Amino acid sequence: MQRIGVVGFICGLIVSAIFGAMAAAYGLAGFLEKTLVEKLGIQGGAGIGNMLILMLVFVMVIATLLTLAERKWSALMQDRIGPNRARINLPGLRDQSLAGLPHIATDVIKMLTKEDFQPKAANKFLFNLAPMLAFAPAFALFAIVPAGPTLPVLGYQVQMSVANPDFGLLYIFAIASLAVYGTSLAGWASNNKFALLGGVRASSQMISYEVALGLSLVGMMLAFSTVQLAGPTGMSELQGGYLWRFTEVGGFDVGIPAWGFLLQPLGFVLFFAASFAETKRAPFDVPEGESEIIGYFVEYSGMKFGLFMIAEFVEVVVLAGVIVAIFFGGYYLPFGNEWLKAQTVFVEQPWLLGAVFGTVFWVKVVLLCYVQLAIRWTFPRFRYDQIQTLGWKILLPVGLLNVFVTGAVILWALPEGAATLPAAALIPFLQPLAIVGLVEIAVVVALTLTPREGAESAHADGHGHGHTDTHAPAPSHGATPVASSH
Amino acid sequence: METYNPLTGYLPLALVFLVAGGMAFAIPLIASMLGPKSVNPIKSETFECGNVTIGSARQRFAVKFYVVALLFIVFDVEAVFLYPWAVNFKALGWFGYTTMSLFAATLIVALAYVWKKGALEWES
Amino acid sequence: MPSFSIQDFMPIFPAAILAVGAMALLLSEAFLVSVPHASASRGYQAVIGVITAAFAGTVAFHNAFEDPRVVLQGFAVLDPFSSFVTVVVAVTVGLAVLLSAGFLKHRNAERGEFYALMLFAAAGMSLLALSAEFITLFVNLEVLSVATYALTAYLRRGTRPAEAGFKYFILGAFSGALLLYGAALLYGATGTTKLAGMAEVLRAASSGDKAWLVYCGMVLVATGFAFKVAAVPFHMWTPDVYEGAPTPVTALMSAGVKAAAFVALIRVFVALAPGLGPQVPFVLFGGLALLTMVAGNLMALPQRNVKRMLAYSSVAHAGYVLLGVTALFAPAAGTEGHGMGVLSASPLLGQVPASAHADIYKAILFYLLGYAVTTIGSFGVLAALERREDETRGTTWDLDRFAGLAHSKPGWAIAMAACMLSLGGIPPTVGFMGKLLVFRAAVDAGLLGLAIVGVLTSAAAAYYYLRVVVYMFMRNAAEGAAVPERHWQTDVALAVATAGVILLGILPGPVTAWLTQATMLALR
Repeated sequence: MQRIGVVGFICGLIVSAIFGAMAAAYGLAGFLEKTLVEKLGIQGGAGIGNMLILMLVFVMVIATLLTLAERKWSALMQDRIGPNRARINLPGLRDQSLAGLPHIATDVIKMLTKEDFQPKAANKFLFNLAPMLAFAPAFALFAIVPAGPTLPVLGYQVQMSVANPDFGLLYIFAIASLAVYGTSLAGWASNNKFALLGGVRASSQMISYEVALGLSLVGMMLAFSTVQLAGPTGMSELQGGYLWRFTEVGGFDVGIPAWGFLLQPLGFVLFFAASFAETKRAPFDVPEGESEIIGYFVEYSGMKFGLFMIAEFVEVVVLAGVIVAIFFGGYYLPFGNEWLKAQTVFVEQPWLLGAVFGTVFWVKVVLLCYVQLAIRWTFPRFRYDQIQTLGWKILLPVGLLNVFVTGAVILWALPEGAATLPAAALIPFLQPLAIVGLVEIAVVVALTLTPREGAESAHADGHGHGHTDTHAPAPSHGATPVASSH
Repeated sequence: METYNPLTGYLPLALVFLVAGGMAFAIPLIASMLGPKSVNPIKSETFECGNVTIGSARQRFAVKFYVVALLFIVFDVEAVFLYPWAVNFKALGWFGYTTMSLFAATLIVALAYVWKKGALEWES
Repeated sequence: MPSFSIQDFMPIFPAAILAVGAMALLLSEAFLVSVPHASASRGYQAVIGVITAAFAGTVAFHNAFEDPRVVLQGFAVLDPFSSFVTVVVAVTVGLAVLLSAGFLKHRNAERGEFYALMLFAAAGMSLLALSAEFITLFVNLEVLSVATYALTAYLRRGTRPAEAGFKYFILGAFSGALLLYGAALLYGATGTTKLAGMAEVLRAASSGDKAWLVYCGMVLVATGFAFKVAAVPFHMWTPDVYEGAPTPVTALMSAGVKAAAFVALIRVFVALAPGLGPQVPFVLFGGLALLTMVAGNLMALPQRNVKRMLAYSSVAHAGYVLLGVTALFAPAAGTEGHGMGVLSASPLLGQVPASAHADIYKAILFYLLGYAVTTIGSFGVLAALERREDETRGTTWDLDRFAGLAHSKPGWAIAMAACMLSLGGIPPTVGFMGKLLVFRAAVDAGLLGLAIVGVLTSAAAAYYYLRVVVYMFMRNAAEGAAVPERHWQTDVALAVATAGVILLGILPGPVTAWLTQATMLALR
């Protein structure tokens, strides 16, 4: 009971910290926007403030905490205790493990004070460049993800994303694909066969899944007719609408929201799988493969290795943020948004509303980070051929199919002259899409659960081995080897 | 109302790149200044789990990786061509849909060919 | 939303047919061939290729009688010239496919992909001929180029094909980049990528504030095209690539690629020439033509390797076509600005042409047709004579291989002789008619000097062309010379090509009459 109380207290603490930080973010953004416009006459101050709070505080802090969370969580799953030895030598804290929190500090200090070491055979310039190329894109990725709605603060419209360029999601694709340089250069520059193998595997895997990644979001673009995440016509804002609006209880609106994962369940699964492979975490961790080849960073130590590691955790956070913004309603609650917006206190103090929605966003992000940790420690590593099979033979065709089914359903459902209507007014017409999406996912699940009868009968006929080419594998079964029952 | 300058939105983005690059550059730099230096010949050998390294890593590797790279170009370009269509999709209507279907169909033919030819097989 | 009608897609039907045929071949190779290395089950592939080419050619022939017009919002034009080139390309690729059938079977290298690549290249050529916009043009140029790069290195076991493919790829990519860079400059100067739009802007441009951009762009674009048509001094790749490529592919390259690239070149420069810098293309192409005619022929003279000789001859013939192109831009051919927009979309803008232009276009197009037929025939005989075993010895294409051919294979000898006479410009062949038309057009345009150079160089060229004929008819075959295999496909292709060479030489009337009529129609 006491433990539940502690957990509840800590959760409350975290949520209120997020709330405070988001309130501060709106304040700082508004202040900077006002200052820059009035003193220098340039816009974009809000973006700078957001960069400071969202990227340097939120993303980096969550990523740093994740390093500990990952170890603690894996320990929990493996029935261990996990890191608990580091102590802070202060009165009262001397005998407290503090849930291992001091380990974060000790890790940082350890990595900073290790020798900066380069192997003799390595290409020095590229060897030093690679960790930077791995870290910088991962860090820059978050720039277009909105953590809250655009609201007036100090008389200026303040957006809660660092930038909202016209090309929106393309920024993510462009910057994310730069990360492949870091890994492949690391593998090549080390001049180590294992590193080379890891680097080649990594780049090959990343580019394979980039195709599926690119296709998986086309469905959402079709549905919302935009590639922007932030802004009044961005995907996050549009997900505040309702597909089916049931009722209002005393002004409190209830319904099924137009969240991306309802419209595009298949797109969501594809995106999640593909982007998970992009982060190169288990079950897609053959580039690292610590039990076989160690990976592209085998020759790295100290802070250079640290950059690879922190880049991985930053990617986890950014991925969670992007998924929330595209598929899980961004900063909106599933219901009651209009009720919240109509409250007097929020009308008078819009930044408070922003802080509430920002908190919603970051709570979702943290939950998705947790899901990623759980996946990382649940699944065994794929073989390399399985990874390629999944990418090219399953995700790519399914992604293409998804795009064109989605397109047909939307066109069928749209009314005459739909192109002239604003995007928000079109949301109710996406209802068939949500239905089709659910049917799609049901079919895939059913296919996956169906036993493979073709393989069984082939064995029954006595063809034996070597005839796997006579029955093309059903897409959902991939490269599952036919078990021999002789 | 000021005149719209499309570049203002990019100021924060430029700063993001600066900060990202700066952090990526500064962190290893600080580490290299803080850390000790003790180079010795054994330590600067290539690390292969204690085995003596044979030959250089600058050698050929499986051609399959090149094939994947080629396929990536083809299909990623396809995905890129889908984006402008996706954004203007509602205005283009069934005509655009049919056109893009034909475009995708040619690439599906390519995928079928590549698949059947065994370029996606990694076990053999 | 832009509205399109089925009429808009008419001109791209031939290319679409070729592409669909190519895809069918690809899929047949992947799905129908059960045993990976058995050549027995692949006989149908050449047939599919030929049928596709014939179908596409028929559709293009039908298109040739359509009214000239701009289609697909100015990205392409349907005019007799694009249709004519498409017909030429379809004939070329059909014959090349037939030649390949025997050639590949002999090497046990018959694959659906080979024919598919040929058809893809043909689709690119056809689309290149009708592109009226720079991005479309560049994409189609690359479609045909990439297909020919792959075809060049198709027989990848040998060192020559690999070398040729690599050389061609590097230089082709380089020239493509030059062309693209030039196109970017032109876009910067005019603000549009459509040729018709560029022409309008350039004509309206009063001051020369962006003139240098236009000049640089023109020169770069011309250079890019000069690589593709193998004009001196951008011909360095030609002999090696032509020699290393499988011979049917060489035939396709020297006939089809050249025809398509020339029409695209003319279309681009006719649009760019009026307005700023009308003299630039004249000087450019005049210089290129002079160099190409002289150097191409001179370099062909000492060749004992017939394939190399034909490669240099192909360079030289590019020079004669360039002579025609120069005549288009000659100042005397009409007052400035008149008739410059013939092949571009601008006939629709109400240009009044000088009647002399019709003759020049007729000459160029007829020359391209004649050269395509002839070069298919000559490379066809070469392909038939080749034997796999000689490749290591390097004597595959030696002049001695032709010794006594008149006795052992009189049919092939006659075909080769007809082609050689045609290449040399000796009546009664299509080459003679083509040269006659081009030279006359050049003289009419006031390019007397260049025309004389052309006549003199073709007289010199007769030496090395006739030498092959002499070897075939007046020398005896060496002892124990192996007799090459015959394939009916090769014989059919050679028969068609030879018939074309001679018939078009004796009776050019229908074609020239149609060309005159079509040109007039388009210029109206």
